[in-house]
Amino acid sequence: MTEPRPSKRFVLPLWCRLLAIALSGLGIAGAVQGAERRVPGDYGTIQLAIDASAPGDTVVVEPGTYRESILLRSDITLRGEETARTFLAGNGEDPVIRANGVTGVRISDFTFIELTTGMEISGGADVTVAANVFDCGRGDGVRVLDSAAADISNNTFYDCATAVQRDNDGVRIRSNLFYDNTTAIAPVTLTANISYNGFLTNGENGPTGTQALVGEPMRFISVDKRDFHLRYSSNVIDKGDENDTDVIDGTRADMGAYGGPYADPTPYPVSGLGVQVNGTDSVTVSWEANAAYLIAGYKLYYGTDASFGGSEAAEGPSPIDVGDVTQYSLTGLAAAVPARLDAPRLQRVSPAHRELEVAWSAVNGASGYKVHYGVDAVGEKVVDVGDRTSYRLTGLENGVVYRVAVSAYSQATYHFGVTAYDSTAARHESPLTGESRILAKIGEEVDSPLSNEMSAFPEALRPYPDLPDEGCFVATAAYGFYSAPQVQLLRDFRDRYLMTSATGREFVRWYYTYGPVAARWLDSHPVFKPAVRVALFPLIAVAGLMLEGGHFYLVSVMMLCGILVTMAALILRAKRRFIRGEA
Amino acid sequence: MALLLLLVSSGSLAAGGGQEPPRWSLELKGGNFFPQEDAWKSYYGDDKTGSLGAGLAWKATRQVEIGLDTAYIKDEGRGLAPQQGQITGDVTLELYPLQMFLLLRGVFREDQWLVPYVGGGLTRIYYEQDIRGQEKRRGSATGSHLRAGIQLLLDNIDRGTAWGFYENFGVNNSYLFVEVQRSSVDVESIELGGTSYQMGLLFEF
Repeated sequence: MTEPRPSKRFVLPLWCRLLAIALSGLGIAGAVQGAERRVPGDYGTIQLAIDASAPGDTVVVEPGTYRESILLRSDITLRGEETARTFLAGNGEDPVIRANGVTGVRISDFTFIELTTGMEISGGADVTVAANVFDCGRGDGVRVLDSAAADISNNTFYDCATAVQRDNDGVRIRSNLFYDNTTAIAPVTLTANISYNGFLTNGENGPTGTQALVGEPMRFISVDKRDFHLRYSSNVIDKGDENDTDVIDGTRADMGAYGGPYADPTPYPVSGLGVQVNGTDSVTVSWEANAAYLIAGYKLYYGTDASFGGSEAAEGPSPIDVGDVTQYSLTGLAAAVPARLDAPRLQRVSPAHRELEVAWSAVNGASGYKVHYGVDAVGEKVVDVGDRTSYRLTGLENGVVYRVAVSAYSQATYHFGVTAYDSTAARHESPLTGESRILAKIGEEVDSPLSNEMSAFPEALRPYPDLPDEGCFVATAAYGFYSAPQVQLLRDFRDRYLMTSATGREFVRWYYTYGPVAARWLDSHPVFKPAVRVALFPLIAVAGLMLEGGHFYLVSVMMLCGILVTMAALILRAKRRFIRGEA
Repeated sequence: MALLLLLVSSGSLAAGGGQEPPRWSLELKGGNFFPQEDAWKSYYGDDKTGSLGAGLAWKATRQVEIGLDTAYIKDEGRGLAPQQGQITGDVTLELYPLQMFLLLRGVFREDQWLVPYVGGGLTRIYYEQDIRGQEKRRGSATGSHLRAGIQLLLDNIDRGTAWGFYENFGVNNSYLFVEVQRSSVDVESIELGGTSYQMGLLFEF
C-alpha cells in the first residue's frame, strides 16, 4: 500500500554536496590546505572548527573559557592563542579532548581546568601534547591507551589525581613539570622514555626517568592566578630536553609549559593598576610587577578613550616605554573641555511605587549628568549618574512631592593601560585586558546651569486591567503553618470549592468519617506512603491550578500540555500495536 | 460554490478504508489574542499579544468531540499612577486559560479537503500581574467561550506519507487549521476575555 518516495538519505547529501561545490567555487568554504580557522571568530565551537578542517589546517582558539567534549581528527593542529587565558574546561565525566586513532595531531598552548580527565589518547593515536598547563582540580591530566607514538612534552601538571597515565612505555614524557599532584606518572612499572621532567611535592612521583629534577624549586609566578610562568629564581630554566629549543628566547628548552618549542611567548597581563591624580593635569599610574624571568619592562598607554591614542602628555605620545618600573607619572594631561555647557532639558518625571523615573535631553560636550532632587529645595540631594540620559530615583516615599532638576558636566576622563614586554628581540608584549586598564578624571569640572524643574510624587501603580488579588495561600502555609504546603493546598481547596456546595459538603463529611481510619492504617504501614503521595499528586496539581498563581500556573500549563501529549502518545502506541497485530 | 467543491471529497483515496476510525485528536496551536478591554493598546502598546496552546479531545462520534485545552498568554506594558493620571512603570500580565469544550465538525467523508467546525464551552482563566516594585496580583475567574474554524486535510497532499503515518504511528488524519475564538470572562466587572485568531496542527488518531 505504501507508495514509493524519494529517500531523504539520498536527497540531503546530494544538496549538501552541490552547496559545498558552489561555496568552494566562490572561495567561501575555505577548503585550502594549511588554513587557519579561528574560534570563536570563524566558528562557534572548537568542534565545529575541527569538523570543518582539512588535513594540514590549524585551529586557533582565542582567549576565553570553552566547555566542550572535543573529538580530534587526523593531521590537524589545535592551538590556544594565549596559554594563560585560553581555558579548556571539563564537561562532565567525558575527557575534554579525545584522540582515538588519529595521526599527525598537535595540541598546544591551552590551560586545562576543572577536569575529570583532560585528554584521552587511544587506538594507536600519534599525538603531540605540548606547552599546555593542566590545572586539574583533582581530576586526571592525560591518559594514553595503546598509543606508543604519543609525545607529552613541555607541559605543566598541577593538582592532578594522576597527571600522566600510560599503558605503553613507548609514550615519550619529556620536559614536563609535575607540581603538587597525587600521582605524577603512572604506572611505576613502565620506566622507558621519561626524561628531563621536574617533580615537586607530588604524593607519588612514579617513575622519574633520566635527567630529572626532583625537589628543585619551580617558582611559578602565581598558582592562584593560574600564571605558571617561571620566576628568575626558578631552578628549571634551561633544564628541559637539551635537543629542544625554547622558542621564546632561543636557548635550551626550559621544563614546563612556557619554555619549549611550542611555547606561547605572550607575557601574562599586567594587573593591580592604580591611579593618583596630582593637581589639574598630572597623574601617577602604578601597577604590580610581572616577575616572569624574561620580562624587561612596561609600556604605558593613555588617551581620552579606550583606543589609547593620547599624545598630549609631556612625556611623549602613547604608548610610552617606561622601562622596568612599577609606577610612572604623566604631566600635561589637559584634554580640552567646553568653556560652558548648555543646560539639559528635563523631559519627564514619571511616578512609580516609591520611585521616580527621570529623563532628559543630551547636551553637546557633556561627559556626564547629575540629578538634583529634594522636597523643599531641588538641590537637597545630587546623584552623579554618568553619561546616561534617564535615571530611576529609588527609595522615595509615596505621596511626598519631590522637586527634580538635572545638570550636565564636562571633565577630562583619561584611560590608562599597562603592558609588559620581554627581553627578546621580538619584544613580546602582554595584552591589554580588563585588569590592565584604569580610568581617571583629570582637571577642572565644567558644570551647566540646572535644567527646568519638575515635580512629581511616587505612588503605587494600578495595573491594567485592575484585577483583584486573591492571595497565595501556599506561601502563607509555607511560612506560617506547621503543615506541608501540599496539605494546606488541599485544605484550601476543601474550604473554597467543596464546602460551598451540598455535594462537596457531603463528600467532606464522608471523608472525615473514613479518612482517619485510612490515615491510621497508613501510619502503621509507612512503606505505602510514597505510593500514596504519588497517587495524590494529580489531585494536588489540580487543586493548585485552581487555587494558586504565578509560576505555578506556567508549570501547571506545561505539565498539562505534557500530560495531553503523553496521553496521545500512549493511545497512539496502543493503536499501532493493534494495527500491526491486525496486519 | 468553490467552497462547496472543496468540502466534498477529492475522489480517489478512501482514507478510511482499512483504518480504525479515529477516537482522539491532539492540537498544537499559536496565534494572537485580542483582549476585549478597550484601553489595552494605551497600556501595552498594542491591541494584541501572542498565545500558545495545546488541546486533546475525545470523539464521541465522527462529528462530535469533547476536549480540554490550555494556553499561555503574556503581555508587558505600563500601569497607571491614579492620582497623577500618568501611564507609567512596568507591568507584566500573564494569562493561563484552561478550557473544556464541545465541538461539532462538518466532516462527511474521510477525504474531505476542508472541515468546518464550531464549538464552545467553559473557560477558566488564571492570571498574574507583576507590577515592578509592588506585590504581585493573582487570581482566577470562570467564563465561557465560542470557537469556529476550518481544517485543511493535509493527507490529500501526500497520501503515501499519510498512509505511512497511519501505519507507523496510528495517526489517521493530519489537519492544518485556522480558528477564531471568542471568550468572555468577567472578573468583578472587568472583561478578561477576548478574541483569539490561531493557527495550528491537529492530528486525529
